Amino acid sequence: MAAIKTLNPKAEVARAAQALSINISGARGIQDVLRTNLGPKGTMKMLVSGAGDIKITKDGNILLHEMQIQHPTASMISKACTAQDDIIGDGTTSTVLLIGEMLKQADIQIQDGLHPRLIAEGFDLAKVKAQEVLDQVKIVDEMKRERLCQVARTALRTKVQSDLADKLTEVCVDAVLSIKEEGKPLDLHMVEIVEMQHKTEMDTQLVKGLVLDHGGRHPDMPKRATNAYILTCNVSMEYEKTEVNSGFFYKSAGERDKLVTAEREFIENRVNKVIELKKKVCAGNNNTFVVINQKGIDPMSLDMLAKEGIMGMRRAKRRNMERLALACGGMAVNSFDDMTEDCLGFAGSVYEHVLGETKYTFVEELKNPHSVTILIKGPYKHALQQTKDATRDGLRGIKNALDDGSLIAAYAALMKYENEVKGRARYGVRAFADALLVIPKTLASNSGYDAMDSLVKLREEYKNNGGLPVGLDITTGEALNPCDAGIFDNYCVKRHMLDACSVIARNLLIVDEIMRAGLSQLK
Amino acid sequence: MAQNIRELITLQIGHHANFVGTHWWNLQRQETYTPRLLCIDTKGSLHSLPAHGSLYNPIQPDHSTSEASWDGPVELIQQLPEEKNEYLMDLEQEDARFLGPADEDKDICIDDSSISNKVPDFHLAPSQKIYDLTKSVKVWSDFLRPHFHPTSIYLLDDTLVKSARTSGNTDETIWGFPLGSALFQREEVEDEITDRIRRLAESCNSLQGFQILSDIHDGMGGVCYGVLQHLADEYGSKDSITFATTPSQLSPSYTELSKLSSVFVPLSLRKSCWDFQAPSTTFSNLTLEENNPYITSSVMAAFVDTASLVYRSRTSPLPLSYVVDMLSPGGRNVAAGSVALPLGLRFDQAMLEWLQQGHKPNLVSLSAGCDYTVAPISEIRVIRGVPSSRLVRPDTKLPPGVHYTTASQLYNEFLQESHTPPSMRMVTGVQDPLKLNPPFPSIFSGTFTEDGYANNVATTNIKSAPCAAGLHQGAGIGHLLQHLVTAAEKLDVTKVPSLVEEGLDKDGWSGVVEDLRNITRNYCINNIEIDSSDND
Repeated sequence: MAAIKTLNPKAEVARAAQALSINISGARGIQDVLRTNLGPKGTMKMLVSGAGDIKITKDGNILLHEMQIQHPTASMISKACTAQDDIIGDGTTSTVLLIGEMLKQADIQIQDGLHPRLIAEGFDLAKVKAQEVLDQVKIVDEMKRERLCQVARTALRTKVQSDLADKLTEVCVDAVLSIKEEGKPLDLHMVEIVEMQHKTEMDTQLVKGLVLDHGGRHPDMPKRATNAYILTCNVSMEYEKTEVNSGFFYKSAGERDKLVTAEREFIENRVNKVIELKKKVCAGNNNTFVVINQKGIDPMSLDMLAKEGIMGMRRAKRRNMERLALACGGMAVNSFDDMTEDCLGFAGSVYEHVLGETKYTFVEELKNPHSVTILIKGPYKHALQQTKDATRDGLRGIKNALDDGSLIAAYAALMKYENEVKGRARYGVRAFADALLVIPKTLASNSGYDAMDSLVKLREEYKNNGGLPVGLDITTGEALNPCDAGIFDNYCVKRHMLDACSVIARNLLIVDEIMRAGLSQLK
Repeated sequence: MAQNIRELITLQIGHHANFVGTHWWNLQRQETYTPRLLCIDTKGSLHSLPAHGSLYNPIQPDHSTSEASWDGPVELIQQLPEEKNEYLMDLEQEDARFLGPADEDKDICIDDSSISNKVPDFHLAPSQKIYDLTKSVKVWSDFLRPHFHPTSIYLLDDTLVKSARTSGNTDETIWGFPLGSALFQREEVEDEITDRIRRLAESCNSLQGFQILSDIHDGMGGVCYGVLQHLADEYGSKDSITFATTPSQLSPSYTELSKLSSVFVPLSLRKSCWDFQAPSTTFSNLTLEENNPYITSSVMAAFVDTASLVYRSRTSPLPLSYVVDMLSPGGRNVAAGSVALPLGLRFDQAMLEWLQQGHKPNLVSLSAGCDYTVAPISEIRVIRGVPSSRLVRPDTKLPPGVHYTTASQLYNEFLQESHTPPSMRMVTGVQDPLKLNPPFPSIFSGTFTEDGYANNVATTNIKSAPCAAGLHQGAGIGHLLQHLVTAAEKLDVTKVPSLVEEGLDKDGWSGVVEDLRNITRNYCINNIEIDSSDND
């Protein structure tokens, strides 16, 4: 009887073999769910909730979020994988598969009487070795556009159908290349993703500029501006209560009105400053003027702006302030006092597009935009979401490749393993190596080939070609050289995956007691 | 111009807050109407309501896997449709009739007689039928009447936030403030929530502020903290009034939330703010099942609906900033709420007569048993549902020059005569009573007429009721907070494993207690109004 039972009779305890079997069944359960998703030929899952909400996905991470996992071990694995997705944005399905497989292999050894601790040690050794191997086979290369396309395509083909994947590949790579500045870290926030429920997924496009999801709120404002100066600001242009509490201290209604008028004048002065600047820069040419404000603009101020032919937009996204500065030049101002012409950005064309109840404003024809927008289109909400998720993953993949400066020929590195470890820990190493094979095996079976058959082919090919990477051709079921086929994966994804799965599997293995006791009551 | 300043954005954060909010929206009687609203809840707490609402995307009964646009195999994983209760079924039918048959060919003339034949004559509209939803309501969407805009509901991942609902065990103390605020800091969550608030704000011509309903007994308090922080940051000049709805209460949320909102009103039906096994507040004319959120939230909603009339009423709303100024003198921004439901006026009495007989609206505190009558500083009282015909009997002789036109005027004059008047008082009112059509639960236990006046004979179907509500600032709140401080001081954090797990250690907790003490201090030092009667 566990000690905790004497202290808390309500506690539930599972020990040793029982604890292990709980962990293994949890890990394998979650593996079974995700198994069919792996690879470009995996199954797409369409989830329909009780209320009729639809979610279509193939992404392991999203599935893990959608499933309401009850099993404690499974939910732990799912959290760990989510963490991996947060950091590098890919590889969740593989990680889950690997953890499940590692525990399965370990289970076989444990049945034979091996202590879990030894296997855990073996896992550690094997992980280090595997990462070494990964370092050896990684391909360090200059990241040309073509290479980046290959990486993005590899990632995207596993998420959406191939023609859309090819389309998104181009879009993502071009987006990243245009925001990339030498010597500066890449900030993916500078690629804005805007959804538009309209047309089909294939109409998704890259806008070399910005798309804002709001427009002018005044009927007389111009809907289109060419050769426009852009003023981005964070200055309130609406009548507001004073900062000092003044609500109840008027002597008379007249006094109150006076204060209101004074307040109003204060705001009007601000608007007039903008109008002055507009008159100054637009004098003698046909240029126009656009104000994009992060704070509010009230109807009276809008009216003043509209009379001057200025396009004014209020409540812009905070992040769009930064993006606008990068896209059109100029800078966001926080006060109109020391505003000069240098603060202004410039865009060749600014126009509104109305779709249903939403107005979109396009800021285009920029000189040298360092911030761009991917405009995602699709007929349904769930289709938009699916494309958006895929686009995010594509962008992350490209960023990873640029950051690492190196790539892994997909599915190849995992084939190498070694038997040099002395002592009983080598069983652990073997379990690890066998577990790694789950990836090509699952890929083969998802593509409709016999898993073992394919594995044999791969092993033979590897032996014969003398150390070149080997991959599985999912269209033929034969071995192929992934470098030639242009299938590349991120180095950091693989590295992180090896790390994550061995650590989690190891932790789960050496658990020998699971306790569930009520949280202490508060009194 | 002041008349235009009307726009308010409502945020409902947490499951219980959404219960209150749902009752609240149900009490508004507009037919087509999408509130300027953002509801935040956890996944799986909507049951039969689709997250995007059914306003623009009617629910399709069948799903084909061809929608997936994938060349490979598609696996369809379909949950069983959630069962709908009688009320929702009726609502759906009513909607269907309103929209007409879902026919794409608009050109085809529909024979109206065939439709009306299908609808039996004895069919009553949902607003007239009587339901007993006490048992069948599990989540708030089970009795939601209005349609929300597709972007009104935002669902959080339930694995990442600890809410009282997901643990399913109401006896357990749920801590989760740190988890909740950490969740809000996740990029995708923050981006989405702030963006939706921004979009609502963008559509307002002159936004005056935010009214927030939030749970504070679980992780949602943390989420609310994040939201309020964002509001303070981005909409600094706007006012916000936070109603913290909860079956129990948690102090970290208290301190952080009250720091950030202009006025903070804790609402709890328990008599103690800390221990949530404490007995419930009792209402003389109501029977409440204390553990049924459907019931408890309805009382809170009646309060919120009535009290907020002060800045919401159609005829003479006060700007929210006045209300805020009034309720938060000298940094005291935790206020108490109270409600008198129903008013208690007899059906054959006039209000003047009733007041003269020594009756008064029995305002019962909704803020965890806080006694708002102790050294009051300021208060706002709202009285509704007493028509001008009921103020004085036609045969009563009023002193010359005295003339009562509204119930609030009468009430105000009556209150002037009472002792311990607060230094600021505002009494306002509207003529509309609180409408108690379904799905408002039947909670009345006394004998009342159909329109909510006391009677000797009971009616089963009370359709509306006059009621009163108050928002109070005074020393009573100080006592409430003092209680909280004492309880928080006693707590040994190291003995609450889940709290430690979330990263709140001893130092962190003493910080929380210190903050709480600072808030409490506002009530005792630097005040002029509280005299020696205050024993702190």
